[in-house]
Amino acid sequence: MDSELIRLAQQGDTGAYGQLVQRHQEPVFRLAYLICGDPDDAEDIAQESFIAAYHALSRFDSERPLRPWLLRITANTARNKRRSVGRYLNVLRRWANEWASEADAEAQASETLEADALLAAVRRLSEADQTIIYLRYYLELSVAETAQALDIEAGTVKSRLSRALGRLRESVMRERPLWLEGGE
Amino acid sequence: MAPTPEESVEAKVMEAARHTAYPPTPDLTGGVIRGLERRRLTVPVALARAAAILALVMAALFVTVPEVRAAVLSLLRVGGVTLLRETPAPAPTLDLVPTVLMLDGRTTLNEARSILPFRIRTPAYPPELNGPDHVFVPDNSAVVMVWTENEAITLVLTIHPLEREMFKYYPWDQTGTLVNGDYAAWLTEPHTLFDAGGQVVTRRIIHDHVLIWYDDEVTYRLETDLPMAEAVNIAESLE
Repeated sequence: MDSELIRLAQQGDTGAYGQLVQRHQEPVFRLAYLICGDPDDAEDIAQESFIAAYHALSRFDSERPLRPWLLRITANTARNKRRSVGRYLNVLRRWANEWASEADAEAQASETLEADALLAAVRRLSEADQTIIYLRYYLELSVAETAQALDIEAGTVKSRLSRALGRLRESVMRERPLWLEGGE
Repeated sequence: MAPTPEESVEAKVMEAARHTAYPPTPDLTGGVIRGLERRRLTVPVALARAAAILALVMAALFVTVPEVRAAVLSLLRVGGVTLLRETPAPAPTLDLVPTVLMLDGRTTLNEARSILPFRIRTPAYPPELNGPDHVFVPDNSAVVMVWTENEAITLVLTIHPLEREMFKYYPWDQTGTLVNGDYAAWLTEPHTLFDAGGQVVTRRIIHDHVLIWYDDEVTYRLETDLPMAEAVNIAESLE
């Protein structure tokens, strides 16, 4: 169980913390990748997030679920990294090309194309909208876990999700009016 | 019954999420453990070094690229607080609020929580710290909590929405640190706080150290005479 490893890590057992890293590195890395879009940056962000979490572990209640807390730190770290200029311009260039590149990817399955296109649309939303969509749908956290990760109430998760999905729908429908009907 | 537009969007997002291709997850264990051993080197030094390099890069880009200009301005802000490096700093004027205890809007913590739209968290560290001794909501958009000991102010925590503007005339170098893994500014020189975000404009001289950080919703300002490490501990204990 995480709680025992957390208690050992809180006492300075880095081996125990390493086991926690093994258990949670996939969702942490994937969230970082969803936010920043680059695997190397995502690896840096994930690593920094685990390091920051270790140094804050002394005040973490070992009986609470660890993953939502780790993902909160990851989202904060990724958001801060993304504000550097180089990455900002790289992301702008990626967004500008992603819709245009769909027509070139004829070998890709249509579901993957659709997934890539929708991810590109999600990345055009605000940071807050992106984060809650990633946590709830891409990492499949429950409403309660999403609330813990964002340090908000469960009811607030639902209302923020509703608004984020509304903004996503408006954004996609501007480019693809028949999107919800299954057309292009 | 046909799905609502929101249900349709949600279904599309869930379907797309299932088909999203991720790069393989690297094994982070070794890098994390090595990082824990290295991180005892000063974080502020690393941040200052990175900030200096970034400043040189952005100085070259600033003149020609509008997106870069916006990014540069945003780097001088921490949440809703902008640090103005005006030299020399404006001299204090008579309309300064002499002490935080002279602010308008004295109230209680429960009342503040009932009227403000954001979550008001308080420190759980140090363990002996009780609730704030004084609470102010100067204009229905920010809360100022003050802790005292033997009538001396020991801690001031201000929380306000991200979109509320506060300015600090701070011509000295500020130190960067981390709160919950996110960037925070640490100020140590006396300076003037200019609060223009509410209906009433106030100015106050800040004598103590200040830690500034923010989250999705609000900006936090912690005034204390404690060292930075203790201020970060207090900041990370908010609940």
